[in-house]
Amino acid sequence: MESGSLSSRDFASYASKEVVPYLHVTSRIQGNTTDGIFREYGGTGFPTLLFLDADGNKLAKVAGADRNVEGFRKTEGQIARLLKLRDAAASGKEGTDVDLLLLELEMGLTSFTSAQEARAGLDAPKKKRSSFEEKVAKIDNLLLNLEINEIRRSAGRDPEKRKGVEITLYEFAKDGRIPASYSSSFWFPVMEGAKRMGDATIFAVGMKLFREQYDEHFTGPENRVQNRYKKMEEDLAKIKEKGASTSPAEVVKSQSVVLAVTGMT
Amino acid sequence: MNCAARVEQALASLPWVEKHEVDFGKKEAHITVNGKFDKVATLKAVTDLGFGATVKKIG
Repeated sequence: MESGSLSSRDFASYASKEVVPYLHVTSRIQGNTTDGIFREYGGTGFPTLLFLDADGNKLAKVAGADRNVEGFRKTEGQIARLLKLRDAAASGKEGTDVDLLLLELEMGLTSFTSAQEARAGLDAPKKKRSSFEEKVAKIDNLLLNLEINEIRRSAGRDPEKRKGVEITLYEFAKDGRIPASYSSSFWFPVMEGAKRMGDATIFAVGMKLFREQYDEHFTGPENRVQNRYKKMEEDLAKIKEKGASTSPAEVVKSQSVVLAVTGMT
Repeated sequence: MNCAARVEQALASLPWVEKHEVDFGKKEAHITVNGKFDKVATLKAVTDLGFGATVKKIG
C-alpha cells in the first residue's frame, strides 16, 4: 500500500493538511507496551486503517476498497453523519437511535453485545413505522453477521472449540438464521457441522450456494474451486451412504411462518 | 412486476407453501407451510431475487 495509493501526491497533500497520520507496527517485542493496539481497536488483518478522534476514540474503519484519498474523504463523510446522529440521539430526537445503530453496525464500530443491547432498546416511532421496520431488519442482518464473526473468533485456533463452532453455525443454518449474502466463513463450518450431524440436506444447500457463488470457475480447466466441489460431492455421497437424514422436514403439520423481507422498494 | 409480486411468485413455486401473502408495508411475507417445510430453501427463494430474508416467527 505504501508503494501505491499512499505514495501519491494527493495523499501527501491530504495527509499533511487534513489529518494527523499515525502508523503503528505490531512488533511482538517483549516489553513493548503498545503491541496491544491492534487488538484493542478490533483489527482483523493487516493493514488496518482507522480514523480516530483527538482522544483516540475509533471513528471509522476504512474499507479495503477505500484506501485512497477519495475513499478517505468518503469515510470522513460517514464520520460527519455519525457524529451528527450521535448528537441527535443524545438529545433524544425521535427516530435517530435506529439510524445511529444501523450506521455504527455498517461502519463496524460496535461489538455484538453492545449492538444487541441497543437493538433491544429500540422503540418503534409513531410515524414512518415501515421505514423503521426496514431499518430494523437491516440491523438484524448485520447483527447476525456480527454474531457469526464473534462465534467464529471465540474458538481461536483450538480444534475442539472449532468443532463446537461448526455445530453452532450448523444449528443457525437449520433454524434459518442465514446471512443475506453468501459467506464461505459461515457456510464452510456449517457444512462441516452438517457432515458430522449426518445432515445431507443442509450440506447440499451449502454445496449449491458454493456452486452459484463461484459459477464462473466451473468452466475451463480444472482448478481449486472445481476440486473443492468434487470433494464436497464425495462427502455428500458418504453422508447419504451412512443413511443419514436427507429429509428437510422439521415441521410435522401445517403452520404459519412469517418472513422478514428487506430490500423491497 | 413489483417487488412484492416477485416475492409472492417465488414463494408460491415452493412445494411446501400452501398459502402466501406479502405485506409490503410491514416488509413481511406470511406463508402457511406443510410438513415438508424447508426453511433454508424458503429463504433462498427470496434472497435469490436480491432481497434479504430471515425467519421472523414460526407457529
